[in-house]
Amino acid sequence: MTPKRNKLANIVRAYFSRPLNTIALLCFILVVLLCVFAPLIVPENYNTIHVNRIFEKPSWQHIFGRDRLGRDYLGRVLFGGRLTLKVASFATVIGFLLGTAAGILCGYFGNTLDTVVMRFIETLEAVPFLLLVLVFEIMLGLGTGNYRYALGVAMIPRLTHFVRAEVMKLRSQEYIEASRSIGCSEMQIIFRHILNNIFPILILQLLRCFAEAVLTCTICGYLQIGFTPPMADWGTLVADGYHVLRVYPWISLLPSGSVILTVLSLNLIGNGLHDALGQKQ
Amino acid sequence: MSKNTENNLHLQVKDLTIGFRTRQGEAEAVRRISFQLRQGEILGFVGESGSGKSVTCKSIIGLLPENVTLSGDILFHGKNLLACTEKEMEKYRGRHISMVFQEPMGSLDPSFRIEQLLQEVIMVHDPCSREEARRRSLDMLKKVDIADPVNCLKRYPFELSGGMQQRIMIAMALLCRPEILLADEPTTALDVITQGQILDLLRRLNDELGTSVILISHDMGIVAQTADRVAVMYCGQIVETADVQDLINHPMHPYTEGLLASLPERQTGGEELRTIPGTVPSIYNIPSGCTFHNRCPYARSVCAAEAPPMLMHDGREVLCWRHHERYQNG
Repeated sequence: MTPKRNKLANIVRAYFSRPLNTIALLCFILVVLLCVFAPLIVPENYNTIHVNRIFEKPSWQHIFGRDRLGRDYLGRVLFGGRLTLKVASFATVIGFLLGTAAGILCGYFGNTLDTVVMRFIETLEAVPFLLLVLVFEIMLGLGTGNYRYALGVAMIPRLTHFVRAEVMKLRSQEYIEASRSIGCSEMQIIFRHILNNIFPILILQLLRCFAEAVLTCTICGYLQIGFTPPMADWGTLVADGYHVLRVYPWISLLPSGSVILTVLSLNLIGNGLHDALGQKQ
Repeated sequence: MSKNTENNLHLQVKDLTIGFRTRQGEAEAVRRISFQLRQGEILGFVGESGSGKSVTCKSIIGLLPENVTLSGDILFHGKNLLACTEKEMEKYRGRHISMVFQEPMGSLDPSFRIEQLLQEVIMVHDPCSREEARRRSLDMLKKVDIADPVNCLKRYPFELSGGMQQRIMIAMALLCRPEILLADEPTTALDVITQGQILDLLRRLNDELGTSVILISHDMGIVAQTADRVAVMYCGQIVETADVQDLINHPMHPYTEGLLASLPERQTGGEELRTIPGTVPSIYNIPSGCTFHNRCPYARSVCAAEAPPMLMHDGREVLCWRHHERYQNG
């Protein structure tokens, strides 16, 4: 009997065994690549206004057509995506790091720290997510850059709660006590044993957070509380096209399609990884 | 006690009391117990569930939960472990005192290979090169009778059988050659054949490495087969300590007598299995006087009224009025 040598290889194999997972990953990579390399792709500056060519239909030169100011819409959508993904990833990194750290500390050490932090977290959790983002944004001052912080901070409560519960489950495992019995310090236990065992869960949470951040970022943009023109994220673009939805539907549909594609592929990746990780043992 | 015998003592526990602060109030799981662990011996602890065996064991290595109150002394080579800080205790754990747990499956972290688990112990206590660590790990795996050590190093804990896992646990515990090994019901989760092998292994390693062992079990048979000396625990107290042969042949405490009499091997055919009447009292409601008096066939008025003092006689210790009077008169 040969043991299955490589855990990672098993997970990768399990993940790609389903075509849908592969498609989702490819879609996500495509979206990210298009947004990252937008400056190389777009046919002209996305801010150049052509008053005589407003709402031009999609053509081979300008495959997404032009918007109400005659700007190349492909550029608008790709640069909008750049902005959305940038804000969402920044927020996710902040929220994820802080939320996970708080969750691990509360779950592992418990006691007074846990009580104090968790009551605070629970109070925040009582407020709906979007409202929380708005509150933080207003507290930080409305402006171009602040809502990525707001988005990140608003992500903390749910993540902390979730991670804390997982760590508490782990803490009562016998192998944690066993590693103490061989002389591991608290830090060694947290960084080696706890972190390694919640790692799969953390990855799933990271994906979920990112998808949520993209969505919320879009909502903020739609509500016109994100960036000021001429900068526009996907949400702003959707809002722009809303009034002309019947006559020039692609103005709204293209950016909203991009959001759907991104979030859907992220969720599918998360789902696929969840199943793949579950099979490892 | 002469100086020479003092040096032979690895561990000296004096008047150890362990209490838990709970919602129902303060509960004493262990009350004023004293015992010694000599160099190279296997000391067995026998008793029913809740008699305080495991708690005693965990107090030695400092792994009790936070709501615990401890008093008394646990002297390890003259150093009081109860007065140690957490940081100091970390240096003792795994290096001088190790522990093997009841559930081998749950005690090995599933996200690491055996090699990484073994290496961790070495790296925590005396960091060395990976090759050196690997060599020592392989050495230890051979010592615990793992058939294919090289292959075993690459495996994950859940790929091994229960017996193998327990061998790995023992290997981890003994990797840094500790003076004391605490084995908390190491065979409870295993089948009878594997149980015998693990016990033999403990005996052999005890001989080869000179590690003193505290073996905890609820099974008198296991302890009798493995230990040199036995301490019988009842309701948070050690009621009798004696060399294993003396204890089996001449139990002094009525509880020990009852335990031995209820072993299935000791019954003659056709009879109903003998048991000790009554149940273990709750630790929230400990009987007055001798804790065993309400289940004891020899109980007299003094037993309910006053707790018996520890009687030491001929290398044995017993906590019972009956013998106390006999030896005082005689």
